[in-house]
Amino acid sequence: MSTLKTSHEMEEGGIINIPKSSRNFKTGTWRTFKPVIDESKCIHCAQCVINCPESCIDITKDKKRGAINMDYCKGCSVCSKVCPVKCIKMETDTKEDNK
Amino acid sequence: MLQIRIHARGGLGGKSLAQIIAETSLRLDNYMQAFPEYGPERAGAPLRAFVRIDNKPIRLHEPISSPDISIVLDETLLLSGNVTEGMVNTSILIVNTEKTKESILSLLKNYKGELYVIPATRISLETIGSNKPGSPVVGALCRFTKLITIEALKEDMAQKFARKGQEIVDANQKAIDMGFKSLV
Amino acid sequence: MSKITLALTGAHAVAEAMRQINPGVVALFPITPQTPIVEKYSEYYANGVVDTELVRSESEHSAMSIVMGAQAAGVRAMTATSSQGLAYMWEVVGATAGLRLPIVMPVTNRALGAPINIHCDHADSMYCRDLGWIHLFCETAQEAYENTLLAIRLAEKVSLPVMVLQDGFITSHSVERVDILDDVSAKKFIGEYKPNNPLINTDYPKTVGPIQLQDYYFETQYQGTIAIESVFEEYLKIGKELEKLTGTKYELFEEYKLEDAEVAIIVSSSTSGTTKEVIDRMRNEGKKVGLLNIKLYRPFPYEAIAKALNHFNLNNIAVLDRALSRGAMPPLYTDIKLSVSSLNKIPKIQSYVFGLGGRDIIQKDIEEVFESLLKGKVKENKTEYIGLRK
Repeated sequence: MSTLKTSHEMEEGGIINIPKSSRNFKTGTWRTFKPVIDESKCIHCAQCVINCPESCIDITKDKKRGAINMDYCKGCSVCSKVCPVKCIKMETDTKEDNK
Repeated sequence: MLQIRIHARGGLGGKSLAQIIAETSLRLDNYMQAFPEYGPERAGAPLRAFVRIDNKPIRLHEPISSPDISIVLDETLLLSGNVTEGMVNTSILIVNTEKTKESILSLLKNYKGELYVIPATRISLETIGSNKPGSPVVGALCRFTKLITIEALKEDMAQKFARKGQEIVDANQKAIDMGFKSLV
Repeated sequence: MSKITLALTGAHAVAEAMRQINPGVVALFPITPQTPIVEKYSEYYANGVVDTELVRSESEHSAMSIVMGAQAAGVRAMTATSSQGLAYMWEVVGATAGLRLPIVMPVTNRALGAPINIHCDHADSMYCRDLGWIHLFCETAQEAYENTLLAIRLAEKVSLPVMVLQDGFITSHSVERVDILDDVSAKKFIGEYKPNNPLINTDYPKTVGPIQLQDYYFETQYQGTIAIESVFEEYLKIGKELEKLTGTKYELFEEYKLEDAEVAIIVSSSTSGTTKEVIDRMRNEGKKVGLLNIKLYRPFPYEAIAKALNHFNLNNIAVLDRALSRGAMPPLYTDIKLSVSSLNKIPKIQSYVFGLGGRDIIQKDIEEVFESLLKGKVKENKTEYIGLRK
């Protein structure tokens, strides 16, 4: 929190004029649980992609569900809840594997 | 400063009359102010409109309580009693009526100023074809002040009614002329 | 440069200024006594005199939202309103100031219901006085026209919205002599709009109106506060420029025979004209009376007013508010009281409330106020009501 700007350094009216600046905000640090996908069961319906509040699940060029970007996955378990074949399990995250 | 008060009923053209007087006086490079008193905005409801004309900017923003000239566009308003309110010996009262001065005077209590009558409704019916007593009355008004003239008045009317066609313009100008002559 | 003299109502005079501004977007919704402004502007639009995108919105809340969006996108956008309409758009009125959008909105002051009333008092804009808008009170149709032009430049200079206030009916519906600038000079003065942060600029994508929580909201509010404090200087500067065209002096407030006055009235808008008339007459009788006519109301020029009221002779002042602050002293009175608190010799100040719901204020009323000031009848922190049947 020490890098906060003063009122003189900020843009007028709270406008954010740096595109994609939300990428600097890594919600992955919030995670207590992490989603683990059973690839053998996944039917690539992409419900998890659509419903992810952080939009951090990729979709591949051949329209399949891709990897989860763990920099932003906050472990909310929405993907696990919406999965029609229940192939996403939430497991305790020790965060040893990412940073 | 010349102060004129108009007593009319909604739909008789009282507000327009105030506006025409003001616009005409502007053509002669005067300062002016014209405003109606907004009450219940319904046809037939009593209505007052006011005009101030001066050769310097007008700063007052209040209704006219003691006018130099009071115009009554509908004689039934004489009975309500306030058409002469605030008027003095030198005031001028112009009433649209077919009656004589004497019979009008008998309706007015304690009025000491000058009284003039004009059959403006008849003139407007003959010329314009509807009860618009404003045009004859404003023509007659030119007899009392140099702040508006028949010429400037006709110019203003011509411009105002240009869109409605030459016939309407001519009818109104005739009404102005007849009004100027018919006031007694 | 030439001037065109016309017979215009206050509402029509503002519409003339809007025609010369020719905003990119005008969103309109009718409300008495503002309606003739947008009515006239719609006529200009229908006749092809302006090339505005005209939006007939379904409410004032929508009108202000449309204007906010359009201005954020990067064009000049205007609307006009009054009374309940201003109350209905209140939420968005605050948001436009927060987003620092230089919107100019003519307002015809009208009482705020209930009871419903269409006539003039200042309740509507007074209840918006803390929202971060610049407030300019106008005495005449002429001033409403000129201030609308000035407001565009001022708003864009300081990135803040401006309300141009005229008295409903008294000014908005009264035909007066108005000198309009020729279109070339007016348009040259107004200039091209160069938005600071236009949303529609695909080379530099940006976010307008993001959430700001405990970490940034306070700073953004402070920014607006600093910005509005810079208005005094900019208003006078832009006023000097406009003065060259109109010949009118643009001051933070008008002092009328105040320099040697023993007693003074402080009031805004059309009533100040009537007051000047009374002052001239009373001066002829040897009575030393004066006027301070409030023009720039927000930001409030506390220091400049204190300086103007810092006369050895000035003993008693009456502040005439055309609005209440129920349960507290009226708004203008409170501001004036604070202004003089720094003076060595503090004049006594009587609070008056007048003209609510369009109740007439006449010369006699003002004369009575002056007479009672001259007699030293001043009760501080107690409001008297002019023309009220108690």
